[in-house]
Formats: sequence, C-alpha cells, structure tokens
Amino acid sequence: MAMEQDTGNDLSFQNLGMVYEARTGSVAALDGFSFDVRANEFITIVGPSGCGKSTLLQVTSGLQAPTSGKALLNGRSITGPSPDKAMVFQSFSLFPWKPVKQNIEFGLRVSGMSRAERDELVDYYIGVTGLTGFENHYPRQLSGGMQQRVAIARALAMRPRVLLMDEPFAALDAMNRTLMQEELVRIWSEHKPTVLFITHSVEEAVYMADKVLVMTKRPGRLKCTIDINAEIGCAHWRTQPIDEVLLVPKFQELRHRVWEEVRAEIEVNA
Amino acid sequence: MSGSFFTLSRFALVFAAWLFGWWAITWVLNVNPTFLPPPTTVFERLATMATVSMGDGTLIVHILGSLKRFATGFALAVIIGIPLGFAMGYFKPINKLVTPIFEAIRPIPPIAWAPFAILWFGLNVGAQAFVILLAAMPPIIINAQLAIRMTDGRLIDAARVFGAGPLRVLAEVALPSSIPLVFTGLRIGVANGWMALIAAELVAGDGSSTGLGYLILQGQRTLNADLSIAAMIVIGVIGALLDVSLNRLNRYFQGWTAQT
Repeated sequence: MAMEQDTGNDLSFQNLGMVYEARTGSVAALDGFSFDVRANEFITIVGPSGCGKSTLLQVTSGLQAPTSGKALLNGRSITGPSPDKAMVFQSFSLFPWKPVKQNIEFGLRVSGMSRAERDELVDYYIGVTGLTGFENHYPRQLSGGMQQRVAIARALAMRPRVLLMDEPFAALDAMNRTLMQEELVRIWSEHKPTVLFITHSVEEAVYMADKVLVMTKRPGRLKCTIDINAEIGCAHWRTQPIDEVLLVPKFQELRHRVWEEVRAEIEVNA
Repeated sequence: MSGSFFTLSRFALVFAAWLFGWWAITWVLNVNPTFLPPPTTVFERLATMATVSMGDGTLIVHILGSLKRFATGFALAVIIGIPLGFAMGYFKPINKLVTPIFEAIRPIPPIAWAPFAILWFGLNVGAQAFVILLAAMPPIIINAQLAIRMTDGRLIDAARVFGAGPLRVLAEVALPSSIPLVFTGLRIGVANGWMALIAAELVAGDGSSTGLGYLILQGQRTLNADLSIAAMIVIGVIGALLDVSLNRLNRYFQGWTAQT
C-alpha cells in the first residue's frame, strides 16, 4: 500500500533535469521541469527549438533516463519503455520492409499477443485511421499523411494509457496537416488516452489542447500553462472544423497570448 | 523500351568501332599475330575452343572449373564475412578485438598469400579458394559492419518504444535495413574475388589443367596470343555477368532504405 508517491495524476514530472555530456562541454536540455497531467488530458507543448521538448517525450517514453528528478506514470517511476506508453514520431519511423499491417501490429506482437487478438485490434484501428484497403502496402507506397496514419494506428493499437506525439504533423503539407488535426481529435475522443503533443504550431496547440504548456528556452522549464477549457468556459472547439474555429475571437485571443509567450523566449534567445 | 534499345544499339555500334580499330591496326601495321592477333583470329579461336579440347577439356570445362573455385572461395567469404561484419557492427568488444588484425591483413594483396596457401593446402582447389576468400571477404565484412552501424536510430527508437529488446532490434531492424549495403559489399567482393581467382590460377595451379587462368598461361607457353586473349574475353564477360546478376537481385531490396 505504498501510496506516498501517488499524486493522483496520470503523469507527474518532478523537478526533471537532463544534462547531455558532449565533447565541447555539458548541455542542459531540461532543468527543473515540473508538471502534473491528469488522466485523459490532451496536453500540447510549445517552446523555442532546443528547449527540451523532445527530451521530455524521450524521458516519458522511457527511452532515456533523466539525469535528475523523476517522471512518474500512475505513481510509479518510469524506468523504460512499456506497452502503456506509445509514441508517434515526426519522421513517422515506420519499418520500410514491413507492410502497413505488420507495422501496426509490431508492438502487439512484441508484447506476445495472440494472432487472433492482434488481427482484431489491427483491423479495428486500420478502419479508425482510414487505412482500409492499404493493409498490404509498403510505407514507401503511401503519401506522408497516410504514413502518419499508420504510425498513429501503430501507437493506438497498443491502447496506451499515454500517447506521446513528437511534432507528428510537422512533415505534412498544410492541407493534410489540417485534416489530420481534425482526424486526430476524432480518433482520440473514442478512447481518450492521455496525450503529450509537441508542436511548433501555436494554432495547432490551441486548437487541440485541454492545456497548452509553454516552455522556456534551453534549459527547458515550464514557463506557463494555459488552461484552454477554463478559458473557453463551454464546449471545447476542437470538435468543430479548424477553419471555423479560426474565426472565434476567443481562439484568436488565446493563440495571440500563447504566441506572445513563445516569442518572448525566442527573442531572449536571439 | 525504345530508349533502352537505342542505348544498346549505340553501345554496340561504338563497341564495333573499337573492334574495327583493333583490326585496322593489326592489318595496316601488319602486326605479327603472336604479338597481337586480329580480333577475327580471336573470335575464330573462341569458336574452336567451344568444341575442341584444350588441356582437360573444352571451353565449358575451363569455365566450370574456374567457377567452382570461385564459388568455393566466395561462399566461404560470405559465410564468414557477413556474420563477422554484423557481429563487429553490433558488439563493440568484437569490433575492438577483430579490427586491428583485420586492418593489418587488409592492405596485403591477396595474391601475396599464394605461396602460403600452397604450403598450407597443397596444389589444389583449397589454395585458390583461400586466395579468393582473402580477396572477397574484406569488402563484405566492412559493408556488413557499416550497414549495422548505420541503422537508422529513429527506427531503433521506434522498435524500443514498442517493447523490442536488443536481439529483436537486431533481427527486425538492423538486419533488414542492412541488406542494400550488404549487397554493395557482395558486389565488390565478387569483383575482387573474380580478379583474384585468375591471379590464383596463374600463380597457383591446382594440379589439374583446367581454368581460364590456365588457358591464358597455355596461350603464353605455346605462343598463341589469340588463346590468351580469348580467355581474357571470357573472363571479362563472366565477371560482368556476375556483377549484373547481383545488381538485379539488389534492386529488389532498394526500396527498403528509401526513407520517408
């Protein structure tokens, strides 16, 4: 009954620090990052380049251990990758020698799930992500948008507690990007995993998030949090098409406010 | 299709022009055929070789004899070289252990081993296979090692996030992604090995009177330059065919590295 670490949150970052040792000296990517994420929250993270956003996801995924502080999932220290944390990468990172279906089922197969169970889950997420008919295509035969759908399906098929997304739409063209933003919200609302979503697009951040986190320039620390739900005060706009939301004065105001916060960090850097 | 046909016919045309130049030189300067025979004599010789026995048999016997030696040495180079290269690429201690001796041996021309090869294996296929092995293996090892080391870190991360351990990363990420570079190693290895074979046949016979190298020697000993040149042509054609067929095979795997 050791509950002393349980903060009642899904994810908890406590004074997280990461220092990289390089030949030219040490670089602090994160320094004293603290934040608590509640279950089912959609968190977007913005900040200047090199502020440690990706490092934060690497630590949360268990790919890297922090050099100081703690990252907790459901009250337990994160020590490595686990099936309850899945990730979508900016570069898609699909296995080029595996067809779509085998890419999506990779994590399930590694976890030892039976073929029948795998097939059922994979088929379901192929449908959800709009990949029906492309099961046997290789990644190179698909457009960027379709490839990222495969990567999202691969992550969702794990039915993760936490979904980590590292600039997932940065490599897509503007139109595909808009479509995928709306699609992601729709797919996410079916099971509502907790999401940490890194982006360079303030508009994307404000459109999708329950909370937007703004990080300082390196070494990254939490600068401020904007609680979008509290600001809106009624139903979240992410269920509506982006082009309509862009016209909402409150959206414009929040986008402006987040941008001002990010800009201050970039200009300090310059 | 018409484009490749055009390229091919232009290639044939240029080639024919060079052959004509060769013939013109021997004819205009009235060159002694034991010094440089005209192409017509060489092609006549090629035709004769296909039916008339030289040494232990007709041309096909010599080709098969050479191919057998080559295949033995090359197969050994693949069987040893690819796993060794993979191991060197994936496990640092193995790399540190093998690299010094590998780098020490690599600059020595394979044919320099011929006397030792004969000493160790006797005048038989073993000595020649050993020389071919030494010629073909270094590029195979280097490329296999490089292929593993160049595995896309982002794909390794993806595999690890989804729960893959080191062995699964090796089997499902590093090995498949290594294939195109491994093929590059094989292509260089084939070329090196094929060249070393002829050298090995020239320096270290295997006690039989077969092989394309043997035919070259035979031409020299009997003052039949046309025989030597005919054998050289066959060697060149087979070397090119080996390269083309490996390249065809390689193309199948090219998409595997086409990054997104």
